[in-house]
Formats: sequence, C-alpha cells, structure tokens
Amino acid sequence: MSRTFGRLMHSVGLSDQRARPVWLVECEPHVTIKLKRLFPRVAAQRTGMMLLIDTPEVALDLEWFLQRYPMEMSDDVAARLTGQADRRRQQDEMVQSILGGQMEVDLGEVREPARPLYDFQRVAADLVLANRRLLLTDDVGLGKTTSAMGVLRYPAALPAAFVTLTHLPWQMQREMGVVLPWLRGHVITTTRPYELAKARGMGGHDPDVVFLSYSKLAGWAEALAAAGFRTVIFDEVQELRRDGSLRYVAASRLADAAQYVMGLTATPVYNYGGEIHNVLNVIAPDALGSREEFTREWGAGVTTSGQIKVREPGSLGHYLSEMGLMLGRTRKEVGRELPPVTRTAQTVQADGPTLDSVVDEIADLAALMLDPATGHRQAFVAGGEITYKLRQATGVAKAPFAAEFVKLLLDSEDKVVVYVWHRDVYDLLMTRLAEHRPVMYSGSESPRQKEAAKAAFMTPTSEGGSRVLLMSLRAGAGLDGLQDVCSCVVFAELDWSPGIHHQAVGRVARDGQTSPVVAYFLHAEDGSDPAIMEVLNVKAMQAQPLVRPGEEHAPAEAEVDGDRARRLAAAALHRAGREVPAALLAPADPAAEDVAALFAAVAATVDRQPSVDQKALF
Amino acid sequence: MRGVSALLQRHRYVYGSEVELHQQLEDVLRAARLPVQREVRLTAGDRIDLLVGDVGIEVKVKGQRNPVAQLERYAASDRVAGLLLVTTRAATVPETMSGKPVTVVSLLTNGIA
Repeated sequence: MSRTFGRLMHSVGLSDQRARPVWLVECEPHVTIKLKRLFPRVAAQRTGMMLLIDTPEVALDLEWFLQRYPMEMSDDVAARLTGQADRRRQQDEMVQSILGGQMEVDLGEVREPARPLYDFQRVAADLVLANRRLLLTDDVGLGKTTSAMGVLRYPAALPAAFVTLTHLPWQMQREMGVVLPWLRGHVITTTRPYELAKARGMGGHDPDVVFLSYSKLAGWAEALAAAGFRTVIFDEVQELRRDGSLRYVAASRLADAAQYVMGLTATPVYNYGGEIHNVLNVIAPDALGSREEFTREWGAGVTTSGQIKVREPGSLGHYLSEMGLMLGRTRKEVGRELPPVTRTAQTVQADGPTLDSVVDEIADLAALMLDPATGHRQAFVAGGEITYKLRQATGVAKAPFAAEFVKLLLDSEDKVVVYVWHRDVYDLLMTRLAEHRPVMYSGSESPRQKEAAKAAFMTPTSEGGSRVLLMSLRAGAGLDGLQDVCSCVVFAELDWSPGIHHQAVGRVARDGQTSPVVAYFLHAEDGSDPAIMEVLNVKAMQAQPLVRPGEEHAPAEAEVDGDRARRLAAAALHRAGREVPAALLAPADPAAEDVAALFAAVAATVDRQPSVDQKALF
Repeated sequence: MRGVSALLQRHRYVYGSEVELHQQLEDVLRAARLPVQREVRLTAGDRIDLLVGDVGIEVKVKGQRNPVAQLERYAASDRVAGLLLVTTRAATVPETMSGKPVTVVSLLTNGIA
C-alpha cells in the first residue's frame, strides 16, 4: 500500500453562522503548510483539522492536491470528491463552449423574441440557462435587460421574478411587452403579498413574470419562493452589495429556491472590492467561499466601516470570468461602440462665505468627536454630521457657479442632465435655471412624478419641453430613454463612489446615442471636493480592474482610506484659520497622512497665509 | 518642464500599485519620444522615480514619507534642473528648492475623469 499523508473527511460544518457541507483535512504538518499555500482560504480548526467549504471548485483543486499527497478516505468521501470535481469539469467545458459559440442550450420549447436578440445577448442568456447562475456585468447601456429577457424565452424558465429599482418596474414591463409580448406581466405594488391571479388585469391567471422593487422583496420573497418561481433576475444588483439587511436575506431566500438566478449591473462594486462577495453570495452562494474564507484568500484589510479591500482586483475578476460566474463585455468587444465619451474635470469657484458659515458647527462637532468622554456611537454620529455638513456646504457654495456653467452649455446644447445630491442645491438650481424650465428627478418624487419629469424632459424644446433635468446622483441607475434627447451631463456635486458616476454618465452614453457624450465634473478646490476626489481615485483603482479584468494587468495594493470625518474637519477648521486639534492629525492614526495632505491642499487654496510651516504639512 | 508636466497631467491612469503607475508614466513619456530613466540614484541614499533629461519626477500615491525633505535632497543634485511631484493627493510644495523650480502634477481628478 502506498504511503498516505493524512485523512480526508466530509461533514457539515458551521461558517458565517450557516451550516454547510465541508471538507475536513487532517494531515502531517509539512503537508498542512502546502495545503494552506494552495488554499489561502482554509480555516484551521481548534482540533488541528483544516476546514474548507465544499464547492465543485474546491473539490477539483483538492483532487489534484491528493495526487501528490494521497490521504485515507472512505468510499463515500471519495465518491463525493469525484462527483464534485466532475461537476466543475463539466461546468468549465460548458462555459467555454457557450462563450466560444459552439454550443446552444436546449431546454425544449422556445419562442423567438419579437425583437431579436443580439448574439452577445443570446450568449449571456444561454450561459444563465447552462450554468444556472450568472453575474452579467456588460457595460452600461448594452441591453443587459434584453439579455435577461432572453432567459425568459424558454417556458422552462417561467414563472420569473424581476427585481429592480423602485422607479423601474413599469419600464421593465414595457420592455418585456416589446421583446416577449406573449408573456403576462404584473407589477407588484404593495409590500404585503396578495393572490397574484386575483390582481386587477390578471383575469384569474397567474403571471409569467412579476416585476417588483427591492423594497418589496422582504414582504414577498417567501411567497414567491413557495409559489415555485423558477427564475430570479436581480437588476442593478449592486443594491445587494451590503449583506445582513432584510432585503439581502430575502433576496438570498428567493435565489436559493430558484433554478436560474441572474444579477445585472455594470457596476457591481461601488466602493471596495469586497462588495463583489456579498453580491455573488446571493447569486451563487459560496462560490467565493464564506466571508471569512474570502477575506483570507482575497482580502487586503478591512476599512473602518467593515468593508473588505481586495488585494488583487484584476486577478479576482479573471477568476470569476474563468468560472463562468461573471460575464462582462465592453462596447468594443461586442462591436457596438458608441460615439466617444469625454469626461472633463472642471474646476469651479465655491462661495467662500457659505463654506465659512459651517465652520463653527464643524468645530463643535470635531471637539465632541475627539472628546474621550464621548461614546463610540455618539462620536460616529458626530463624524457623519461633519461629513454631511461640509459636503452640503460645498454643494451650495458651488451651486451659483454650477448654474452659470449650465447656462453657458445651454447656449450650444439643447438639453442637459445635471446631477445633484442635496436638497438646498436643487432649490438653488431650480431658481437660477428657471428660464429653462428645469424638472426634478430625485429620491423624494414618487415614481409617477419621476415619469412626468422624464416626459417633460423628453418633450422637444420647441414644444415647451424642459431643457434641464436635475437628477439625484443615486436615483437614475437603469433609467433608459434620455439618450434620445441629450448627450451632455454635468455633475454639480460629486458622489463618494466612482460607480455612481459611471451609472450617471451611462444614462446618456447608451445604445441609441448618436452624438459624442460629454460629462463635466464640477469640482471646487475648496470644501469637501479634494478629499472626495482622493477617495474616488482609491475606489476606482479597486473597481475598474475587478469588473474589467481584461483592461488591466497588475495587482492593486491595499491603501488606507482614512477617516473622512477627520479629514474634512481638519480641512474646514484650517480653512477658517482656526487651530486644528492635534488629535485630528494624530500620528498613530493611519488617516493622519491623508489629513496632512488635504490640509496642505486647503492651505494652498485659501488667501490667508497658512499658519503652519509648509514642511510640517506632510 | 512645463511640457512634461502638461503631458503627464493630460493622461488618465489605471494602476494597481505605485510601481505600475511609474511604468505608465514612463510609457507616456516614451510615446512622446522623451529620454526617460527609471530609478536614478541622485544622492547616496535616494533614487528618484523617473528622470527625463534634467527634469526629476517623484511619484507619491500614498504620501507615507515626507516628500519635501526628499525633494530638497534631489534639488541639490547637479543632474536636476527642476522637479515634478506627481501625486494623486491634494498637495502643495514650495515653488523653488535650491533655486530650481518645483511643480506639482496633480492627478487628483484621476478618479473622476
């Protein structure tokens, strides 16, 4: 009998408070070292055993490892290992042949869509049907919704639930009416479940497809899962980037019960790379291991708010594509290039007195935040308020100049979309741009009011249509149609996330756009903008390589994001020539460097002579 | 020196590490047919990230060290007639060091445009 190096067992283990099938490995110390190297995700148990969650991917690697280091195992365990590894091999073969166009899915009966799919859309749909789970990350405006409709052309995939953003169920239903006109659709409008067949307009029939918003998910997941919904499509699935919420749990419940699960988004990562784990854990549970495993294998530290930073976002992106779990094509790849998009960073003035006016409050809040007697929670709240106040003041301070800038653009542009965040900024822009009949599309309008605003903006200017759409930075994802009338967007305020900016530009840079698109990012050299832009750069370098692995080659390094509140407080106090508490620049704090740099930038933009030695600023 | 500064400022970079940013900066400069050297030893203890003719370029993404002291050492070198500090941070430096011009090439907008 040949030498063995340990023992392999299969069991049910606990990880992230969930019972899961796991592999347990007990082996000689030097083999343990090799095992840890091959599986960075492995968890050592107190008993000295190594634990790995059982997935086909892990089984295939484990099989290979056992060729070099044979281990004892029961026949059942051996059979399980081979079965799981085979599943992974078959999956791999299938994914390759579908992507290579050598295989089409055969699920029996199929009806061809009334509006034909592009080949690349059909490939995405087939991959879902073959692999049962897919995160589709095609670029903004490539018709991810149509790809999803491609799944529903098979009766075997029905009934289906289409989960989307609050303002979009009706748009999606209309879209289905065009692509798959024979299907019965229904938009769910209440949070409490009712009998679908008895709903108005259903004529006693159950719907083929229900459309609902994420906010309705918690109430409906159980009912839909029990009703045997076979397909679940999560549109703009970045909504599930935070785990633990009610909607997240509900989404997981619904997905686990379904045969086919698809997530759609051009921007799965809004902030740090770890968000991809949360998103994928709904679509394909454990494909990336548990949160703990993922952190060990891919993580490069955790931010103060508990987000996982990814060490090599590009490699992770490649890995997900390789497994057939993530499919993302650029416009160029699918031969649907649009007129070019120009992104221009435009410096604008900010009204000094407006920024000065918040300094007193910020000083008080900073004192509160730094006071040792302040509770952790209270300090956290104070920090949040500093961020909010300075960002709001920055928006307001920029608003008059932003309005002038937009007026200037309207000399040559027919219509402009302006992105805004704070209520006060909306108010100022509504007033200052009144002559151009501005309309608002923000979080506080009802879905119907939003539709009305969109309609006013879509109406030709010559017929009294609006020339300016003031849109919330975070309200527009997925909205379609603006590209027909507009090719110019202006960011009057900046968001903290580059993904949001990408989505926002994508409202006009999408299929149907015939003119070159221009996006202006108005930023001030004062207030919160410099700090926000630093953070945007760090985040962009996490998300871009991950989502578009083909366009990037090298590892990303972990970087300290720093503490926003501290930075902003220091900047504001310094700006006003106030003394900056040393604790805001505490050298022990990793954020201190950030504070110092920001501090220097602000010093450079104010008229007063900086009160600190230049050298000390770094 | 102003030309080099404007050239670098015009580009947008996607990088995972500071070294990769060095590479991309070098690519940009080479594409413009400028003579570039990497990691040039200017003083006993320091290597400057890039040297283009007599213009020294120091890159700071994270800013964990004090670049002013470092830049002053570089400025003292005979091989350097001017210095550029390429940084994604909001930063300021003195306009001259050892009588040589110092300019910040801010990549602060790299994350948006």
